Amino acid sequence: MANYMLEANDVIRQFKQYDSVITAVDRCSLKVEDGEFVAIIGASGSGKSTLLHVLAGLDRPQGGSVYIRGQNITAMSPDELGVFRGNYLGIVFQKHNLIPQLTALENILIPTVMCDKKDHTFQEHLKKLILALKIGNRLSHLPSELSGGQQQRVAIARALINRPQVLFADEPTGNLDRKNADEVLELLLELKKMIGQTLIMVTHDMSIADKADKIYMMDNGKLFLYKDKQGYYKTSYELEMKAALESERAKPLE
Amino acid sequence: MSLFKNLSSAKKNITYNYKRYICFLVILFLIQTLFAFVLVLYANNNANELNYLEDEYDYHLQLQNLTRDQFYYILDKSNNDMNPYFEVTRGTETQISGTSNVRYDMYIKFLDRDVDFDYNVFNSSLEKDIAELGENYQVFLSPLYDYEDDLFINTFICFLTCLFIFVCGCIIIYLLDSIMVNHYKFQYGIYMTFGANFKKLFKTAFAEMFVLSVMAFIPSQIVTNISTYAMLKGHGQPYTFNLLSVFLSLILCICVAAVPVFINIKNVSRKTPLYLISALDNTNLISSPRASADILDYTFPGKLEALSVTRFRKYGIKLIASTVSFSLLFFGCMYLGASYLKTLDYRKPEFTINFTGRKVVSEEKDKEDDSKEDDTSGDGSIYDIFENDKQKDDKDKSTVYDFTYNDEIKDYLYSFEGIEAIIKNCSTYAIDINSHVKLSKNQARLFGGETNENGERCYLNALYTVLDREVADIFDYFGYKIEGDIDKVINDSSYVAIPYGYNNADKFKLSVGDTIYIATDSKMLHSVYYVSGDYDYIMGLMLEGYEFSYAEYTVGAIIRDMPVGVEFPLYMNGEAYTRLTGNEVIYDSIDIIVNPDISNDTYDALLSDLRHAADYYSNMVIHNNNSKVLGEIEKNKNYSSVYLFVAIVLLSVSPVLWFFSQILFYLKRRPEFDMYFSFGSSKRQIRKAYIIDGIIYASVSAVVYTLMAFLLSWLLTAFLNSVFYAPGEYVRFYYSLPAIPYIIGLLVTCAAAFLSSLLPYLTYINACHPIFTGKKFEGKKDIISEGETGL
Repeated sequence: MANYMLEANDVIRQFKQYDSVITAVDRCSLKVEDGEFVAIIGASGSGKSTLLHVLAGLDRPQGGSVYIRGQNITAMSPDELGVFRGNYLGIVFQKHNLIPQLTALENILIPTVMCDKKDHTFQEHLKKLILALKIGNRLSHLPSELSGGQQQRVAIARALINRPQVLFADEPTGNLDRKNADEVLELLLELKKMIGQTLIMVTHDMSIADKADKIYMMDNGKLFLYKDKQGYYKTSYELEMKAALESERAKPLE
Repeated sequence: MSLFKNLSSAKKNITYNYKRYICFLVILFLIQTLFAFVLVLYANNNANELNYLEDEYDYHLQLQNLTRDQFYYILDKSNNDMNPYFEVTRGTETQISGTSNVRYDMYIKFLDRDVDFDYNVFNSSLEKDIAELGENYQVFLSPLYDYEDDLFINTFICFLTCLFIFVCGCIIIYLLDSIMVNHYKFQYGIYMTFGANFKKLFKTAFAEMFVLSVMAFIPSQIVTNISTYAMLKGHGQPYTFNLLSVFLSLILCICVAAVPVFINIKNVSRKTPLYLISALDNTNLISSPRASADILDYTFPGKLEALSVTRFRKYGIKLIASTVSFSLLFFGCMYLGASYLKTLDYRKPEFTINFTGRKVVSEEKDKEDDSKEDDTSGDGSIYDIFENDKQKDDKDKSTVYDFTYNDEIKDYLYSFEGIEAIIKNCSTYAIDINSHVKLSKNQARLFGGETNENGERCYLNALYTVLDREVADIFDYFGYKIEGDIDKVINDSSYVAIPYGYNNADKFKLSVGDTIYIATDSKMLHSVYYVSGDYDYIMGLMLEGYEFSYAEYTVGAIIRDMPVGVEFPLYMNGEAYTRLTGNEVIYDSIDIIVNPDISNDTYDALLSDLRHAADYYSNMVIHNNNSKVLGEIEKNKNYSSVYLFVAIVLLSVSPVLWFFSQILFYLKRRPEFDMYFSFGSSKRQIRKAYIIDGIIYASVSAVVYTLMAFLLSWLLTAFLNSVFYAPGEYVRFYYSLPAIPYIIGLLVTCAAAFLSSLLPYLTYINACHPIFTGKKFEGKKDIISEGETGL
């Protein structure tokens, strides 16, 4: 367990729907080192967002465990988990989910109200975030008065205000056009460098995933390592899927 | 889509989404029940009133003290008319005590529905001939004659009540429907994107309201008719099922539902689809701030949730305004109901006797019996008259006595069973003797009276009235509050007693011991002409045209709670009265209040006794006000039940609005609370956020409701005293805040405000949110094995 910022082992998440059971996450395991940028890709409905929610402590698995900073978050009570999330984790959603009655600045500062992590460098950090995200002139506007790109920038600032050690991003560029998507990604990577955090991103965009240190692929609830520092593990997507289905195991990691 | 398809589709929609429509069903049930209750009661009241009157009175017209010739003349006309329009139901022949004379009473019933027409025909064709045959008869109309007028008034009241229910119903349905339309405007936007227009949307919405109205129809009719039956039977009255009321209530309810739906759908259809689609959350309810709040030092939920409530103030103000309004309507209804009951309980005079006549007795007897007359205390002793009547002939010898009310007559009347109080009156209008009352600026309230050149207020509408112990006892009988010492006024001619004002309103700011002035003499400066005008206008003219001299009087007592009409009585003892007006103290009319619980036989006996008493005083006229019968009819209308029923329905609207609105409002705030949770808040903090909202809404509602209740009480008191009940109509209302209706309204409003915030929290927590289950992960216990998944 040492040296990994995040480690998930055999995580299972199932949903009951009338008489059937849907296994969204089927015995998924992954390891993320401190400071790594990990991308999870897959087709729509493959279960990647569900996996991300479980890893971020927003959902509870039926089986398996998730360790972050050596702590088993799946064994925590809801209150303990809430405090842990506020202190160490940041989350960016696809639909940004800004609080509609609060201004951009108030939305950014929400996490500080929940978990007070302000110190003497806080104001400096806030200014840097606002400058980097280029939202300085929209701080007193409500979310309904911002464009989609601006709303996503506000959501990113909100996720980073408490300087989380792990940032989870669920398709952060999914609702943006190409130009805005590239800008947001650049910002995320820049801020990652600036703050030195671990970034776990769900995306269906291969061009974004290619920039990651590690790529996992999700298919029908199963997780496969697609790329790490040593390179890619498949010549084509289909061959890898076929092999994985036949063996029912991903290649083990060192 | 055909009508049948629309209705069928509406029925399906309601069945599958019944939770959405429960509030509407409840409200439409209540509205329909209310309509039905008012209409059924109206129909039954009219029938019961007619039956009651026909039981009590077999006549429309009563002719009293007819001569024999008059009596048989009318009877002959009745029997021989080819097209009779009246019949003589009965006649009585009574010997006048102490004489050989006989008086005749005749009771006439008109045969046509239009009794006014028949009465006019009777007067035009017979009155002249009857008058030629004798002068001293009196004509009285019975309450049965006034039934048609009463029917008109009942119909008007029923119409007003239904109109009130209609307007309130439309407002309630409008509020509920607009809450629902606001919540589902995203769906409306999608429908409109794909071709739905006003006509289609309205047809669908109206079909749903129609189906709901029909669903509420049978239960409402059952409840109405059973409760009306129980209420009428409880009062010993018959109940009649009225089919017209049943269907009229359904039609009115459908109209109530149609109007607000029309308005709401019209508003929605005017907006662009994009506007509706983009308003998925509560954005349209938010008031945009000018600058961000400094939330760095805020706590969660504490200050942060309070900030959210202020940002949602548009929503909060609308919700509180509409819910508190209905609580206030409840309060107002209960207030009016209590006031109505007060008017029913007030003792009104049953008989009014005018001593306008003069008794003719022997002149010789007058001289011989001087010594006996000296023994009497009034202007003529009853006992002397009895004595004289036994001995004289009634035609040849005559002496005139003036008879007015005196102590002996008082004792005589009080000896009759059933008489509870006798109100005597001796007064002179200030305007008749060119007098008025003058108060200083500080002694008068803002409006009323006429200001003279010195800034003093002058009142022409004073009625100088004699006060003695007997009049003062009547104040006690009615329970008027007296400030000061009434005996001082009775015994000292420099003291007066004055009421609080006139027109049932406070006009004076007087204290016991204050000095007031009464104009005693006037010198004309120039002629004053007026044809008509109110007292203040005429006072103004008189102040310009005359120079007045004044006498000082001290306020010895102030009388509160006494009903006062346009003229206010200024009480003084007999000496002061004579000195001021130049008139002797003569009581020429009295009002008699009868015990309301006496039997019909006792009542008839009392009436007979009074008639015999009148026999001794020719032209002592007894007016029967029929207050007892009219009071019974009024009570039997059960209007107090209508007030109560309407009040309860109106109060129930407040919690329905609270819960319906808040449940949908918080449904849209769930993502927000999910976000708070994702940032690290606990379940306890989320619960506290909802509780803070509830406390804020409940507190603001309580303050608004309390302030408005005070204001409404004041407005209703002024309204009742000056508009609704004619000034001087026996009842004076004074300002008060009825405790029980106020507390009930306050508790319901605050409880609904608080609980309507708490309930969404409970549904939020239970909405299958796995994190909120609070269970720690227990290893493999929760895993469904591969075999069980079926994969």
